[in-house]
Formats: sequence, C-alpha cells, structure tokens
Amino acid sequence: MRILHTSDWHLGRSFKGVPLLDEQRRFTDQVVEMVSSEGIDLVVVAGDVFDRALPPAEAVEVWYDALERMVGAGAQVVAISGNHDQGERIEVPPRLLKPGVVIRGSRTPSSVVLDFADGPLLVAPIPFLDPFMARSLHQGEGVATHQSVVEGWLSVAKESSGQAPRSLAVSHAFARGGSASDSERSLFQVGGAELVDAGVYKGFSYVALGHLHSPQVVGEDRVAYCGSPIPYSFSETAAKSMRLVEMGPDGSDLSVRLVPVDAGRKAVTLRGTLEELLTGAEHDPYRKKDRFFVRAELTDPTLQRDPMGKLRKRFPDIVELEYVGRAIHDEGKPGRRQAEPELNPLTLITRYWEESVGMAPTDEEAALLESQISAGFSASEVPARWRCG
Amino acid sequence: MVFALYGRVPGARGSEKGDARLRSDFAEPSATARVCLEFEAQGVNWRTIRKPKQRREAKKGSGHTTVQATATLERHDGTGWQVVESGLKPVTARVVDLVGLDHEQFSQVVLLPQGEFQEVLRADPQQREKLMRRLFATEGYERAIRFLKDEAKRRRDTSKVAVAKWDEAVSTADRTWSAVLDGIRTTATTAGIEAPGWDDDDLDAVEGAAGRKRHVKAWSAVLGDVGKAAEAEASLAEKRHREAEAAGGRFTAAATHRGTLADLEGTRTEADEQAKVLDLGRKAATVVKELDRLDELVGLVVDAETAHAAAIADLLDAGLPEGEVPSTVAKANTASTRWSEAGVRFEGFEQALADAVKHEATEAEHLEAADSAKQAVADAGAAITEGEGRLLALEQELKVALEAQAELPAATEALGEAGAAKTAVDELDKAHKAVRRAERNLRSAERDRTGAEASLDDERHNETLDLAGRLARDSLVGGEPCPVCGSEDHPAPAASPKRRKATALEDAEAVLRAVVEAEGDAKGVLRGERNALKKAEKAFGRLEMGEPPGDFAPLVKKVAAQHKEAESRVGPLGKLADLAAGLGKQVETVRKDVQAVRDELADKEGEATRQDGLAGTAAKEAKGLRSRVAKAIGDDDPAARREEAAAVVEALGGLFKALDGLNAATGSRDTQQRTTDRLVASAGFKGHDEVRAAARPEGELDELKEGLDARQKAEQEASAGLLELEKQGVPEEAPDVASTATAASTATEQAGNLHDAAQLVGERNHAYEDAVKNARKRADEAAEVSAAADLADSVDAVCRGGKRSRSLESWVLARHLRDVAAEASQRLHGMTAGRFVFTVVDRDDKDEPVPVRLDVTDHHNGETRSVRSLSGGETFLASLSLALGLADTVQHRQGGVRIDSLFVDEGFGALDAASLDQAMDTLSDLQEGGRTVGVISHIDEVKQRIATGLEVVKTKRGSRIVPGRE
Repeated sequence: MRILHTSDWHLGRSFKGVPLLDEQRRFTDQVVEMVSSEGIDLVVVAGDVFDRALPPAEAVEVWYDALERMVGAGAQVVAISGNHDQGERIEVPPRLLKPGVVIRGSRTPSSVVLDFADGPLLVAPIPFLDPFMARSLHQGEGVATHQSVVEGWLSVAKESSGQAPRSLAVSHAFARGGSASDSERSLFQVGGAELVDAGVYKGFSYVALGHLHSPQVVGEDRVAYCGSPIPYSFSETAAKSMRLVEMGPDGSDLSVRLVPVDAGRKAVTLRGTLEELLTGAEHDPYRKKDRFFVRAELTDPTLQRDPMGKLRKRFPDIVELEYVGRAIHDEGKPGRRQAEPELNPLTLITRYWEESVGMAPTDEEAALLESQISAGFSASEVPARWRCG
Repeated sequence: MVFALYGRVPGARGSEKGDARLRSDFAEPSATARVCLEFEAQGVNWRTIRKPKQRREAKKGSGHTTVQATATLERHDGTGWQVVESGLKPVTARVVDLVGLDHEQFSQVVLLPQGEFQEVLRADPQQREKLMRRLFATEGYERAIRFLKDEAKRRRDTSKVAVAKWDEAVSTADRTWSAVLDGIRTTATTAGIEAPGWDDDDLDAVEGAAGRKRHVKAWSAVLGDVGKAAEAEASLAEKRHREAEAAGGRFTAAATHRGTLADLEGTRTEADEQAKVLDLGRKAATVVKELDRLDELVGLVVDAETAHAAAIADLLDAGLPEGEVPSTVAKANTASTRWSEAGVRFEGFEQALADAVKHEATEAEHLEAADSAKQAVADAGAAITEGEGRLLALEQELKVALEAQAELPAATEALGEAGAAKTAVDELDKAHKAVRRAERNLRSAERDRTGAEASLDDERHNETLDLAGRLARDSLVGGEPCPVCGSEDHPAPAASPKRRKATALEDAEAVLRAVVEAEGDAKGVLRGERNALKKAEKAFGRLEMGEPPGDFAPLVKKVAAQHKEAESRVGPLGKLADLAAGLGKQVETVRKDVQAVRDELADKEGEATRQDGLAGTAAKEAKGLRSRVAKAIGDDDPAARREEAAAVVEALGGLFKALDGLNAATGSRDTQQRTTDRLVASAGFKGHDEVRAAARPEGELDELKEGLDARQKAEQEASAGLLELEKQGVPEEAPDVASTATAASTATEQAGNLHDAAQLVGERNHAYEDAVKNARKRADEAAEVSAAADLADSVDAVCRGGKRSRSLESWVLARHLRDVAAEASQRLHGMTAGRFVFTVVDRDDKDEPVPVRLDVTDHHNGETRSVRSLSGGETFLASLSLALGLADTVQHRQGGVRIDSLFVDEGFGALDAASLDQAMDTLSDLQEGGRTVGVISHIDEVKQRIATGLEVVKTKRGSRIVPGRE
C-alpha cells in the first residue's frame, strides 16, 4: 500500500503578519493531485492541522474542502490534533464522518483497523497529549511526562486493539534526536521533559511523526518527521517535502520517497550594511514578489534612516529587520549598561550631590543629607541591608 | 495572595477600606473572612493564614462585633503543619525574610504591573512622574526633600530666636548698669560723701564693660574707709552699755541673800527636835533585823523534831523491834548493814526454788514427746498391712495384660490379609464395568461419524449443483458451448439456487471433523479402561483365590464379612496390651511405698525410748533443789523475808536523815540567840521591847535627813554669796541702763547702714557682670545657629534642582528608569523581532532637564518617537517588557532573590490575533526558565492555550472558583 505522510499544515497561520492561506490552499491542491496520480491509499496528517485552537473560518473551510477532495480521490485519511490545535475540536461527529476518515483529538486511547486492497492495517492515531491534561494515562510513580503519557496511551489501546500483520503509529511529539527550528511552539512544561524516546514506538511498521518543521528521520527511515509543508520561520531554509511510503502487506518491504513541495514562499536572510543590501547584485534573485520572505540583518554600527522603507523598495516581501552589529540599548555609548546592585539611599544621595555640585559634600552637608535620608526612609521601609550606619 | 503574605492588598486597594473589601458581600453575616496561602520557599512548604480586620454580625445575640486582624505562619515538617510565628508584624517580617522581597517589591515584581506601565506610557508628564514614583518607590526621596525644606525653615526660625535673645541680653546689661549707678548715688547720700562722676561713653554696657568696672572699683575703695570708722564708734558705745548692766545685777542679788538668812534663823528649835528622833531610829534599825532572824530559827527547830518522830514511826512499821531503834547516826548505820546482808541470803533461796520449777516443766515435755512417737508406731503397722494387700491385686492384673500382648501380632496379620482380598475383588469388579461402558461409547461415536460423512457427501453434491446452476444462469447461453468444457449440453438453469446457507459445506466439514475427533477420543478412553482391567486381574491373581468367577456379587460379600470378623478380634486385644506397661509401673510403686513405711516404724520406736530417758533426768534435778532450800529455812517464804529486810534498810535511811536535820537546826538557833543579846546591849537598849519601840520605817528616816540637810545648805549658800558680792562692790543705788542702751543702738545702726549700702552696690555690680557674661554667650549662640541655617538653605537649594540641574527625586527616578529601560529593551527587542527598543529622554535640546520619559526607537525607520504612537498590541508588548525589565532589575539588585512565579493581570483584550500570539509566546518563554506564569484573562484564545486554570464562575450568591479545566 502507499501512504502519504504529511503534518503541521498550520492552516490559518501567518508569517510575520503576512497571511499564508493561499499558499496553504495550493498545498492541499498538491496533496489531492498526488492522491489521484500516485494512487495513494492513505493520507496521514500528523498533527497541527490548524495553527490555533480556535482557527479562523476560512482555514476550517480549506480543511473540509481538502478532506472531501482527498476522500473523493480514493484515499482514506488519518489525522490527529497537535499542540497548536489540541483537543476534541478537530473531531467531526461520527454520523458526519465519511467512511475511511479517522480524525483523533480526544485523549481516549483507541486504535483502529483499516482495510486496504492488500490487507488490513492497524493504526494507532495518538493525538498530542499534554502531560497535565492527560495525566490519567500516566502509569507508575512520579509526575506525568510527554513520554509517559504516550506510553500509557499505547498500553491502553493495545488491550482492545484488533489484529493486523502491519501497523502504523501517528504521533505528535518531540522525539529525542530531532532538531527544532524557530517556528515550533515549545512543548516545555514546568518540571516536565519535552522529549519522547523513539523506542516507545517499537513494533510499529512505520511511525509518522509531526511537530518538528524540518523534515528529518529519527535513527531510521521507519521513524520520521515529514516537516511542515511551507516555511514558517527564517530558520527553515531547507527544501520542503512530503514522504511517500510504500509498505508490503505484512509491513516489510518499506521504501520511502521524498516528494518536493513548492507551495510556499521561501524564507531567506540577507546580511550586510544597508548600502550593500540596497546595491549588491548577489541579492537580486530575492526581488521577486511572492517568492521570498526576506529578513535583513544590518551590520551598520549606527542607526540608519528609514532602512525598512528603502529595503522594501527592493525587496517587496521583506518582513523583518535587525541590527546585528551594535548593542541593543546603548544610547550612543558603547557597551551594554549593567544594572548596578541597589545602592542604599545614602550612597545615592551622595552621588547625586557630587554630580550636581561637582564635589563631595562637606561633613556638615553630609550630616544633613544623612538625617534627611533617615527622615525619608523610616526603619520599616528600609530593608536591613540598606540601613545607614 | 499579596494580602496573605504581607497583610496588605497591592496598589490602590491597599488602604483601610481596601482590607474591608476582602470580605465577600455574599458571605453569611456572621461568617469571618479568612485568607490562607500555601507556598514554597527555600525548599520548605509554608502556609500563612490571615484574618483582615472586619465587622460581622455577632454569632449570639444581636449587634455586630469587630474582629481584629490576626496572622499566623506555619511550616510543614513532613507530617503536619507547625505554627512558627503569630502576630501581624512578626509574620510579615518573617515572610519578607523568606521571600526576599517586601510588599512593595513583590507588588512590582511578581504581580507584573504591566497595566500600570501602560498608564505610564500613555500618561502626561506630571501623571507619569507620580506613577513612576509609586512604581519605583521613591516616595522616600520626596519625603526627604520635604524634610529638608522643613529643616531649613526650622533652623531659620531658631536663628531668629537666638538673635532676639542676644539683643535682650544686651538690654539687660544696660539696665543692670543703670541700677549700679543708682546704688552709688544712694550710698553717697547715706554716707554724706560725694559720689564720683560717671562719664557716659557711647558703648553699650557690654562693649564698655572695662571702663565701668574701673569706676565701680574706685567707688568701693572710698566707701570702705568711711564704713570702717562708723564701726569703731559703734563698738565703744556697746561697751559702756554692758558695764552699766553688770553693776545693776549685783545690786539686786545682794538684797536677795540677806532676806534668806533672816528666814532660817526663825525655825531653828524645830530642827533640833527632828535631829534627835532621827538618831534613835537609826540605832534601832540594825538590831530589829536580828530579832526577826531569831524568831525564824526557833520555828525551824520545831519542824526538825516533828520529822524525827515520823522517821521512828516508819521504822517500827517496817518491822524493827522497838528496843532496837538507834538513837544516833552511827548506830543507825550499823543496823542498816546487818539487815542488808540478811536480804541477800533470802534472795538466793528464792532463785533456787524458781530453777526447780523449770526442771519440772522440761520433764513434762519429754513425756509428751514419747507418747506421740508410740502412737506413730501403731499407725505405721496398719499402713503396711494395707499396702501388701493392694500389691497382690495389681500383680494379678499385670499377668492378664501380658498374655494379651503376646496374642496381638497374629490377629493383626490376619486382618491385613482379609483387607487385601476385599480391595482386589472390588477393583476387578469396577474395571469390568468401566470397560463395558467405554465400548458402548465408542460404538455410538462410530455411528455419528458415519452419519457426518453421509451429510458431507450430500453437501458436496449440492454445491456442485449450485455451481452448475449459477453457471447455467450467468455464463451459459442457450445454444453456445460452455466456455469451460465445451459441451453444449447445459444443465437446466437453476431457477434460483436452493436456499442454502453459504457456509453449508464448511459447516458439514466442520461437523465431520468434530465427530471424527470424538470417535478418536472414545477409542482412547476404551484403551485406557482395558489397561486398567488387566491390572486389576493381575492383583486378583496374586490373592490365589482361583480363577475370577463370572458373577462377582457373592464373592464380594464373602470377602467383606471375613474382613469385618478379623477387625473385631484385633480391637480388644490391642486395648489390653496397651495397659501392660502402666500396670508394671504401678506394681513397682506400691512395693516401694510399703518398704518406706516399714522404715518409718523403726525410727519412731527409737524416738520414744529417748524421750523417756530425758524426762527422768529433769525430775531428779528439781527434787535436789527443793530439799536444799527446805533445810535452810524450812517452810518460810524466802521472797517475803527478803522484802521485809529491804523495807527496814530503807526506813533506817530515813531515820538517818531526820537525826541529821534535828542536830543542825538546834545548833543554829542557839548561835543566833547569843548574837542578838549582844547587839541589844551594845545599842544601849534595855530590852527587845525598847528596840521595837524606837524603830521607824525606812522612808521616814530618809525624809527627815533630807530636810535637815537642805536647810543647812541654804544657809551656807546665802552667806557665801553675800560675801562674794561685797567683794566685787555693791552700789548704793541702781544704775541707769536705758540711756546707755539707746546710745549703743544708734551707733550700731549707723555702721549697719553704711555696710548695707556697700553690699547693695556690690550686688548690683554682680548682676551687671553676670548680664555681660550672658550677653556674650548669647552672641556666640546666635552666630552658630545662623551658620547652620545658611547651610540648610544651600543644601535645600541644591536638592530642589533648577533650570540647569535636576532635583534629587527626579535624578533618582531617572536612574531607576534607565536601569529598567536597559533590561526592558532587551525584552522588547526580542518580542518585536528586533524592531523596537526603549530610549530614555531626560534633557531637551537646550540640554536642560525635563521630566524623565520613555520613548521608543523604531529600527525600521530609524526614528525615535513617543510611545503613544504605538498600536494597541505594541503598547501591550512594550508595557509587558517594562514590567519584566523591572522584575529583572529587582532580581539583579537583590542578588540571590529568585522570582519563580509571575502573574499577568489582563490586558489581552486589546490585542489582535498576531499580537496575542506574540504575547502568549513571550509568556511561554518566561515559563521555559522554569518559572510559573499566572495569567488572569477572560479571552478564549488565552484560555485555550493554557492547560491549567481556575475558573471564576458568577452565581447569584456571589462568585465561586472551579478548579481544573479538563
């Protein structure tokens, strides 16, 4: 059978304020086209179908449209919720589900057996599990972690699963060994570990992972991220693709082909002085509209006048600008100002005097200043380490 | 939360009224509001519980009570909560220690005041300064400046007062100088001398003190001389007056003496009479005493004679014969010795009789012991007889038991054989029956199999028919050959396939399989049973009872009966054999007992004999003693005789004493008689009566003597006195004292006036000099105080700031703001992807200080502009950065204080989706540092993104908190 492994569609997301829905719609067109042309039996969306828990109406429209067309083209669909769109919201009531469409958002563990021309396939659709919300799945001692709730989900699902000679796990998690880009929302929970060990998915013929936006395998071809279909951050500079997986009736004969996706604008970072960026010929390719999101890293040591406006004339899709050659808050003086440890009021007033008068206070002046401070700050307000004398 | 920690709510609600707002309006009127917070600090769990001051309805009765604020701090030690502090101040102080932040800082740093920072960003300059003052807690500096202003004013006032005092002191000096001059003038008049002139210099009394001093000195010298002369005059007048007084005194005294002498002469005769009586009385006094003593002694002699008579009576009572009564002490002694010795002898006899009694008692005891031993001998004999009888009986029983023991083994063996036979027969019978059953089952199974095979054949046939029918219907066309076999002879198309179960064939196959399996099982069972039967037959053969019969029933019965008989024999024999051992032991025991009794008998016989012997010895002793006593005193009772002797000895002792006494008394009386007679004669009296007549009481004699002495003394004094005065000189007439007195007093007065005058001037001069000293002191003081006031003024001027320099408070604020802005810019830069940073502006184009404010620099266009130009979302991010910057600054400064929890209160409502995303990402980043971030919001999207929460639900009866959102 043929499985198309996709994930992290993030329908409704924008790139630094620029809406991406058109690109995302083009991507779904590509998916539908593949189903027809390559004879895809099963399309997998491994989480983060939407970018938010409450997605905008247009995004939902795109999703339903895509679903309908994929099923119409002859594929079954398995989709799970991710950390962006977690929960039951993405599920559709059973009476509205077409046969062959499995959407899982709820935490109740259950696997399902789908039938294909060359035999059955056991599918374990594991939605994103927040360790706190899903802590009832956690078995054993201690605090629930991402790893432990996934283990718990699998062990409960196993009890009531059907039988098939091959199996597929779909999971939205951060597997150990994977590398993140700038656009994934951190899964970090206070006191909990982010990572899930890939060994948890042992025994499955293929593991379709979602969450990391760069395509990568985790140790072997069998366990992999297909990545997001279009770039969502400036660190995603590698080519985007989907994974087309062929699998024999008993789960062996696994072969994977990467299918390039070209729907989105590429993200590119240019570095140099303002002058260089405005005139350098090497940056010409990025002038094309609707092809590149551009980020400028200016190496100028001083602030420039209206750099954004000037750059936008050359690069219409520039969305970000940053100075990398100078300290963030220097008011013209070099070096970052360190906050000094709190000086007690007496020292402060002495310093003030020196600055205002030009020399240190005389003894009588100092005595008067000290009594002034004592009057202004009563004992209860001055923490012990501040008290004068 | 803040109230639970510090006892005050944060920000504007931290007033008295604010506390009262902690009590829910929907609470029961008599309920007491209480706040409880558990938190972790320094690795330990703590808990604060506070009650705000509140009014509630009284629980009993009507009216309201005011509940005072309370606070406690508890610590969890692993098993329970232990109270560690109580009381508002101690708890707050401890909390500040634990958390590392005071109430203000906590409100700044943990409850992110980004709402207030939004206000700061949007406010006008004055408002901003006020807000920032609160945020950075610089009220202290404001108070300090106010204090300085007050202090400067106070010092200025003090200076004014000091100067006034100084002026007053100078005036006083002038006044006192005028008084001095006045004094001088008065004195001059009094003394009648000319006062020296005073030239007024133009200096005041303080400056010109030197000149004035000289003037006074000169005047004092003059006054001194005049004064001395007047004093000399006064002493002389005084002397004259004293002499006149003395002469007058002598005159008066001489007259008095003369009078006294005349009186005494008049009473001379009386005095002589009294002297005589006194003389006689004295003489009689001594003798009277001795007469009294003589009478006493006569009495004593009478008593002694009485005692003597009584002692003799006692002696006769005690038993002494009348003729033997001794008349002297020596004779009494001898008699006493004789009677004592007699007493001792009788005592000896008494003792002997007592011993005899003792021996007789011993004899009786021994006789008794002998009797009891003889009784024991008799008892033992009886016991022996009885024991021997029992022994015989037991030996007989033992014999029977031993016989039974010998028979038992054979009987047991017989039982075993019978049992084996029964078992073998039963087994064989069972095995036969089992085999027959198994054969029946097998035959049944075979029949089933046959049937199933037949069914299957039928089904197969039907299947084929089905296929053919379908083929005929679907694929075969009339007239065309079959695509499979080519035949044109088609079966009749099945009108419709027979109503058959789709799985009929498989079912039949399944049935057959089952049945075949069952047949196999039955065969197996039969094999098993046949094997069992063989085994049973073998066992039977071993019994050697011949061939197994056809019908087993009679044999089974016979074998069972045999078994039962063998059992009945073995039982009783066993019981008897068990008894054998016990009986043997019993026999042994009884034998031993009998022997023991025999031994005892022999013992007792010996004992009886011994006791008899001892009794005899004792009797002999007693008899000996008794005969000895009888020989000495016959029937007399030695005890009585001894007592009599003792009584006589005692009475003799009494007589001895009485004789002694009598002798002594008589002797004394006689001596006294002689003494008395002598005294009477030497005193000149004729007899005792005369003496008694002349005697007088003591007091009377003393009085007489006193009177006579006094008279004599008075006479002497008067004579002597008169003589002396005449020696000194007695004037004929009294002198005139009054006039000399007047003269003296006048002169003294004059001298006195001059003295006072000098005194007055002296005093006034002192006053003047003191005033000068005082004025000088005041001058110094005024100078000092003015200097201090000037100093305060100049410091105040500096701290207030002005056109060119910043005020103190403003400077401090600017400093704080700079620190915070530096931190905040880091945050804002990150949040806006490098676009915005903060810039602090505190001077205008002319480089003059302006109220401090924050602007933002937009890197995209390189301009710096007011924060008011930011959009709603950007403003939120800016204020959040500022709040975080403040928190960071406080953490850096406090050094070591770690803020693990932050709370963001609302503000999300104004944000669009992208900005909200940005804000939530920022908060997630905060969380990544390991912090807990608390968010208060009503925005759905925020709720969706945060897993854990508390929902506040409004009900008619107030709001409730619903924990957990799942």
